[in-house]
Amino acid sequence: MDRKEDIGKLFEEKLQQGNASPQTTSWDTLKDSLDEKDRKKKKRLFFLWLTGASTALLLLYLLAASVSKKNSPNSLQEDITVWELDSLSNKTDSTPTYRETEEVFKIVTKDRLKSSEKGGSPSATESAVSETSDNKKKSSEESLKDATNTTLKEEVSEKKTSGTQKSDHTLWTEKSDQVKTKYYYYNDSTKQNMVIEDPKVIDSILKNTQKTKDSINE
Amino acid sequence: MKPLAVNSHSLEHIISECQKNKRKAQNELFTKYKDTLYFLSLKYCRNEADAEDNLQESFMTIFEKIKTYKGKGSFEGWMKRITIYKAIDRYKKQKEFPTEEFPSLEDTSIEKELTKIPLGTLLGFVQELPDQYRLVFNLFQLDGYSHREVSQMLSISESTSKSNYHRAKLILKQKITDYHLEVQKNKPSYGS
Repeated sequence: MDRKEDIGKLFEEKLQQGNASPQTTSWDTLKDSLDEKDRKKKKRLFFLWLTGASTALLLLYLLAASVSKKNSPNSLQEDITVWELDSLSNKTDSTPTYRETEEVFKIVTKDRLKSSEKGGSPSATESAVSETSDNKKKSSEESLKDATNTTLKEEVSEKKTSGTQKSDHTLWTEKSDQVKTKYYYYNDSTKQNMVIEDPKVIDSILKNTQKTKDSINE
Repeated sequence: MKPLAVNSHSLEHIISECQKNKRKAQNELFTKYKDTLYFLSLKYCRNEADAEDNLQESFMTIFEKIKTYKGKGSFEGWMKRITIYKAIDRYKKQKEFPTEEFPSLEDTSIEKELTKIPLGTLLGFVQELPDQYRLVFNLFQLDGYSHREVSQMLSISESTSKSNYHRAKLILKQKITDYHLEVQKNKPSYGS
């Protein structure tokens, strides 16, 4: 009979029967730890949610702001106003007729802006801004010319001024972003419209007309 | 067999409620398994204080990870594995394990008449083993893991696991011998 036993087996047999209760670890301490962990988890989730929500709101705001800026007619008006002020400050020609025509042009522009705000058909300015091809450019110039002429006619009839009226306008092309200046004229005596890029030409016409007038008056 | 079915169902119910983070169910689970897991912790830890800490941390992890329990295999086995891994982590962090590649060939058997030792004393001997020896001895001898599994769990070589196990048994044998010598010394002599 074997009188010896492996020490590993001895411990295995004895310790398998064992059982003991914890003295200090109670449900209450465990519950407190669980509650604390839940609180921390909730806090972390709240901060995550808050960060996410504020980021989303900021992005939405920025998106909305950029979209509204793109769609707003104010942006167009802003560009034109800058140009108008620029034209006024740069051009120091003191000819009264010339200034009058600049004012007329402002009225034309505002009228077109109003029509675009009402959601009607695209105005001549909008067409001129958006269209880039040569054909389209031509048609836009024509429509712009027509719109200018209509208003010029009204303005001229109201003021009852004689001689040649003059206005200028800038076209922004999407392709080149270059500023191109055109001058629109309405000759009251001949009842004809003119589009000229060089203002000196019309200045000479205006002077000639004035001279003719003066000679008639004399 | 009926009571077993009822118990099994109630355990499923407790697990399901614990997965919903219900405190009542967590309390039930704690009450049901605290003694088993505490005794397991006692075997793997150096002392009672460490075992208490290990029990608490194990239950925290059990309640946190219970959502991942899919019902495959024994639930008690799943909880025991968590408790064992908690103990391994505890002593892995604390001390670098000594490496020993040469297993001793000394005899690790003991006379049967010397095996009559109280359970608490035997548990004390295991707790007094060096951390790595204790972990290897528990994993291989008491919980039935192979040396390959032990080596993977403790990040040691298989031969180190075998060597540590053998060394642990030699230390335990020495402790039992010393214990009996102490008992003999303290025994009152009525003869002479």
